[in-house]
Amino acid sequence: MKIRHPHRWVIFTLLLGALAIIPLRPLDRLQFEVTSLLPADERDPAVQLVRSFATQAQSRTVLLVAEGVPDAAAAQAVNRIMRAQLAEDPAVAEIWGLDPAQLDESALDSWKVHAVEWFWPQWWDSAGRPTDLEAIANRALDELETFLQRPESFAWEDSVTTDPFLLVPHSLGRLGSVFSIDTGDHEAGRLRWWIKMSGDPFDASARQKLFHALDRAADAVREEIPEVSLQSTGVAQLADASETGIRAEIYRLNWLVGISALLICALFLRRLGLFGPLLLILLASLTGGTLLVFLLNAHLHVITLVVGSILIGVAIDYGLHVFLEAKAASPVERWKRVRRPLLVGSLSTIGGFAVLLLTELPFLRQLGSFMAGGLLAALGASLFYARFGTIRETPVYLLPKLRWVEFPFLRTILLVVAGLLVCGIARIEWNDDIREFNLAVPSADARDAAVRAAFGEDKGTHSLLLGESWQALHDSLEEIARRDLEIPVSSLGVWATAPRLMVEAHAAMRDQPFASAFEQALAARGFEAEAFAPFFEQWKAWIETPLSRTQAEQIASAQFASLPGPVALLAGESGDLHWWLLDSPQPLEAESMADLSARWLPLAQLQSLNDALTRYREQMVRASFYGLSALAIGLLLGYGVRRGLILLLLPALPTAMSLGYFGWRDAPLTLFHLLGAFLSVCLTLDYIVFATSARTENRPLPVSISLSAFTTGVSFAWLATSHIPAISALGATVAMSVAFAWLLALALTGASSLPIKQSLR
Amino acid sequence: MPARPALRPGFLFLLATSLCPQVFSAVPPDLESPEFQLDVTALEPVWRDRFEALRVDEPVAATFLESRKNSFRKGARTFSGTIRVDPQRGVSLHYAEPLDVILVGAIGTLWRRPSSGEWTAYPAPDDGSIGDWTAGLWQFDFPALAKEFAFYGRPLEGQAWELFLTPRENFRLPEIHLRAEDSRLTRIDLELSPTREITYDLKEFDPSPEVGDWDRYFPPTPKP
Repeated sequence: MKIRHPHRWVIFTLLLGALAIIPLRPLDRLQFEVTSLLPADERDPAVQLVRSFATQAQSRTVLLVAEGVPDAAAAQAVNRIMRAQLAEDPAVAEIWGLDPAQLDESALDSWKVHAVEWFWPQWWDSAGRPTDLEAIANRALDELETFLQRPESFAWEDSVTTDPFLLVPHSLGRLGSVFSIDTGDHEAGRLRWWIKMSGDPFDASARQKLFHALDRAADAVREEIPEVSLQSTGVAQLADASETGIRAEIYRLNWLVGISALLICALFLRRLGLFGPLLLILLASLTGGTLLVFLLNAHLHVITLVVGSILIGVAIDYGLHVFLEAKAASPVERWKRVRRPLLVGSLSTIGGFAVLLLTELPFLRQLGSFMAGGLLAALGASLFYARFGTIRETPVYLLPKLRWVEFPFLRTILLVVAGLLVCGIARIEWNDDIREFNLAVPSADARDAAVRAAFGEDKGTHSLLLGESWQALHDSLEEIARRDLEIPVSSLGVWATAPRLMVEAHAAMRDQPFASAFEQALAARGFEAEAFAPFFEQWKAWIETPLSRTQAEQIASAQFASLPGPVALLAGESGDLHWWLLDSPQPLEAESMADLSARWLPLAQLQSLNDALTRYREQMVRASFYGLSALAIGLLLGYGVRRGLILLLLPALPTAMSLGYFGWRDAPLTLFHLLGAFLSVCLTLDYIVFATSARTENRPLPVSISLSAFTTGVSFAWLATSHIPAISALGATVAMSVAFAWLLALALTGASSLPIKQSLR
Repeated sequence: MPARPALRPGFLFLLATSLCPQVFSAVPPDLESPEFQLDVTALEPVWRDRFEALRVDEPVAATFLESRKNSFRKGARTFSGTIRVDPQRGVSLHYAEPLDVILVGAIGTLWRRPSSGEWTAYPAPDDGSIGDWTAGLWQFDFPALAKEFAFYGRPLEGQAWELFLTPRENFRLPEIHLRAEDSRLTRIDLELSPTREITYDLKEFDPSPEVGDWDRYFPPTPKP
């Protein structure tokens, strides 16, 4: 069968593919936040907590600092302007100046209404859990009279009739022991605000609204007080910088890889007529990859597109194989000659990427489907050209002769270098960190560090307690207290009321005539008992409502939900997960925090998600094992035991050399080095297959293999320049492996394989 | 030349800003009439002179007896001490009885220091009742005060006179009753609500106090 104008068929198929992509709405399904790289159903509490942070107040926090405030009058003016500009802006949900007054004031309303229900059990517990009503009344009134003798008690006189036990002031005091404000701003010429944005910080339009609001506020301040400078930071700013950087990274790498691949072809081939088909093969690969990834995945993380730039460099190899090796008398013979080596070479690579579909990490599944789909499409287009295309002989242009390439030494040098590098594997250490996925944006990171420094760097360290209930967290605090640690630990646990205590206090007072006893005590002390009606109403409502542990847990949740502004960041819940922050002056030892009712987690671990990523790396090892096992079986069956083993072990050598290099550099390896190693074996297999075949047949290594190594190697080398550490690791591992594999192929086949010695064939 | 004014009530106003909303008027019915209402932009000379005399340009001090009445306690609680007014640093109340405590008000914040201790910030409710007009109190800036309060005044026997300040719209602000003898304030009544009242009787006025040790009566934070 003969097809006229095969290019038109390829273009037509490309257009069909492009049209099929449109209804998949690819742009709406792109993700940028790092947490979306992890599985949505991940049960690791650390991952769950990080996910909840991404959707709750923690991610909506913006820290704002004004520096250079000349005097107190200017400070007042700046505060007034900032509040006027931001408090009513729809992009801002809350704004808090960091002064004690505002933080305390906002909590008072709900606390006054729930004082008895939330805080009386703690008063009762601190008083020794008395059951004698007269003792309770006298103790409370002694405290009240002592308090009223303080001149500043005027500020609380409104609340006395509702809160004669002074539950709210005591609660504020306990909160102050956990969360204190540095009030030295005036002296430092500085003002600070904690802001909660209304929208999602990972939504570009919500971020822009916030930034515009902050810009307007800053302009208004500078108009009145020009010497004041304002800076802000938060997840919104960092996400924006990261997204901008990643977009630039995608464009940069894709253009570099594409141009490099075409330049290599131009340098060696110099036949303009080839660029059309090669370009169509590249477009087919991108279309096929995009189509498959959005068919198999609900979302696509942009990091996949960063890595996916290598698709160009790998897909072009198939075209090179066809146009450089497909010369034959007839299309049918050409087809028979090219299909087997092309299929052998490509299917190992495609199979390697397809194995990633078995992993849990969404990013790896997306990468696997993108690359497998792209390479399949490129393979299809290449095979189509091989069968139906018009292929003319393609001259391969030569580099100038390089006299210093004395091949007899190449094998010796390679052997020595290989031996040395492989020994570095013994020095390998693994360290997985979610921050490897972060694009470093120096300007944003510097601003973030400066603003956080203005907010005061913690002199202590933080960790987290995670539990299934608030009571589990309280139990853990008691366990920690019993362990008598040398390092003191503070948390919101000293402020919050334990659910079990709520139930016990309620049970102790339920059947007691406390209201009448307290009324009599008030009168005896010279108080107007009827003025305390609001308190008695609260008491009655509390004591007459049954209270179970479940209800007590809900009350505890409401208590935490009442925390104002930045204080609310110290504790939280998400589904079954409850947590609060622990603060200690020095890092706590893991052994001292083992076997608690709740799980203890250093914050550093939360920042790195080391455990989860280590598990994913172990999965990658298993997936690689399965993939390589399948590959091994194929090779053994196809080439026999002896040659099959050689073909299996030889590609492992360049990969081992790459990993050994990192070992010698004492660079900790990550999941992405492992991914690169696995892909290296798959990618370099066809170099070795062709090299051993050529050696057996006493002919040079096909030029297409060298060109393929160049384009693939350069693609991954550009990837190694990425500012995202994970991508850079992947690129460096594969680029080095490809380079070593090509040298190995040369060593196997001899000097005649060098492009400098090959000519028109 | 008029005698040194005794006191500026600005800080005392701030003390009263933990307010209950109140809609009553403490102005005596016979005073709440146009006859006694004062227009601070067009004062009669006698009132202009009285207001001028109240303004504090140099540090002054006086002893005070504070009396607090409220609905939940029979009788009044009393406190005594010394008030110090510094135009640069604000107003400091040094309570000697029953506890030795120093209080200094700032907008939104109350500073407290026990007799032998450090300054700590004490929350003063920021309920919106403290605004730009509050700063005018430090200078006894009547045009600024007039934005929030209506003024009613009348002379009393001899050189005495009294002044009522009643909120125009913001009923979270207190009703204020001032009594003065010539150019010296003698009594301030703050009616925070129908059930809460604070009274200051001022005595032993010192127009030229020794300010050498005044650093211990004011926190290091500059006044707003």
